[in-house]
Amino acid sequence: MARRRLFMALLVCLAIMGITWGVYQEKVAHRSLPVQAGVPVALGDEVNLLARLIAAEAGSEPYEGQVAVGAVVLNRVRSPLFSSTISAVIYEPWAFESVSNGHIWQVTDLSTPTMAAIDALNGWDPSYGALFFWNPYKPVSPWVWTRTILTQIGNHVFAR
Amino acid sequence: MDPHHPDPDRQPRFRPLDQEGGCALEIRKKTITLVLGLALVLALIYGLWERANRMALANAVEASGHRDFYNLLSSVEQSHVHLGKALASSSPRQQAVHLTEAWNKAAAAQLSLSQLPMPQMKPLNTSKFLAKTSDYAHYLAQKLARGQDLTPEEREQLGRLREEMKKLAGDLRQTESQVAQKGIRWSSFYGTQMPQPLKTIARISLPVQATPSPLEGLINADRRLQTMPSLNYDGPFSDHLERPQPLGLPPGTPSQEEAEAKALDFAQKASSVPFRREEVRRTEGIIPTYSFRLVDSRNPRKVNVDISRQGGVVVSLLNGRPVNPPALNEEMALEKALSFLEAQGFNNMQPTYSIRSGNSQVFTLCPPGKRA
Repeated sequence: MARRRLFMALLVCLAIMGITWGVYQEKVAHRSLPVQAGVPVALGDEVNLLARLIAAEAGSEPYEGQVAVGAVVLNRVRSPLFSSTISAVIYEPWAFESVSNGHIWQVTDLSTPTMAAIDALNGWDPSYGALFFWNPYKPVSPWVWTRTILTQIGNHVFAR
Repeated sequence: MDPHHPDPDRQPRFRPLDQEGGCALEIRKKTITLVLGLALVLALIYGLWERANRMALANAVEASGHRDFYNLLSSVEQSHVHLGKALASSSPRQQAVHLTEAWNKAAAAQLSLSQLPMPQMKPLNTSKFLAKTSDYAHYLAQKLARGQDLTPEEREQLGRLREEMKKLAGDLRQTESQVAQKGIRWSSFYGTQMPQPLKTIARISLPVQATPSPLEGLINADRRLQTMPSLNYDGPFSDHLERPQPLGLPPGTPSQEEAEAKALDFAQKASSVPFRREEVRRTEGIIPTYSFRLVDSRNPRKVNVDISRQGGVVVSLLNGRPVNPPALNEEMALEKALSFLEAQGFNNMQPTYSIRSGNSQVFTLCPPGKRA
């Protein structure tokens, strides 16, 4: 009887281990890969990368605000203060919250953000040359408030 | 009767009830202990497994941080050497070669610097210095390639940049010794923010949570480079372009109503439909503007028009309407674009670049004799 119970307990433990492993693989390991509708996307496509950032940072913002976020990335690429490529600017450590928390890889609807990215690449800059943006209703580094604010669109303040 | 051999007839056929219950309870206790023990072992294994994963990731981040740091150091030192060789060389061809190398190394240094995990500071001045040095070396290399010689002022400027590069290399060497002595782990900067007592416990218990050093060498360099003399030349990072002033605006400051009338008129001419104002903002970019959002009277399409606050001229118009499948080829589209611009007073515009984007053809145009 005791042996049977021990055997059952071992089985339960093995099952728990298996489930834990499965959940980890499904939820954590796979979630971090960039996929859209189950299909892996090209990491090298900078329009896609810019659209992902726009979706993650400003997905719920008005269209103009989405273009402005894309324009901030492009303004940084043109600025001597930042790196000279879109990917280097986006992946700069702690430059964007959505890259730090992995949200950039979890966005799924890229239709509007892709249009916003293309508009930004075509030269529309509703941020008027901004290099920084932040949500004034969330806690941010006091340093950013020393920058010159150029405009506000939706929940984002844009500054140089 | 022998007390050691009781009468079998007087032996109870079953064990007493309390004895049986005690035995079952004991087995249950043992089972629970066993299950809890196994759960504890599993939790321990899981914890060790997670810690091993964390250490592997921390080491990967560590390697990446060191790679960027030593790439930065190496690129700065090599850029310094090539700037020196460019100054020492008397052959324009050799000067161009060394300036091209200095351009590439300074650009590589800036890229490595931007990828270093340093949450306490943002070395914007160092980044700006590296970008400008790179750009200036590129500008001089191009000048030499065109057959022009370096002027004494340019050589002097190059010498100053070389000196600054040398000081930066020294500061980075100092930082490198700090990294080695104080055991800075770049991965420790990625830790999630947690309360101070927990942080202290974590630092004691986990070697990966080493105390971050303030990276004095880099901070000092960044402070010093804040006061670097200005660098004016024909390149995108020249100081005279950092805060450009609008030069082509006519005098006068129209009222918001006048600017709005102009925006409505321009949008109607561009789209052949009447618009009304939905929103207006004042923006403070390079050209301060009234920014109007207009809506079509019949459709929910939105058009953004910016009118300069000085002079009241149209700075930009963007109509974000969906575009149907193309009915024009590139030549016809260009013709249409040029005729629209001519109708607005922009004559003889020259196309410099064109790209098809979705169902739209985008052109960049500039007046003759100017760059787009």
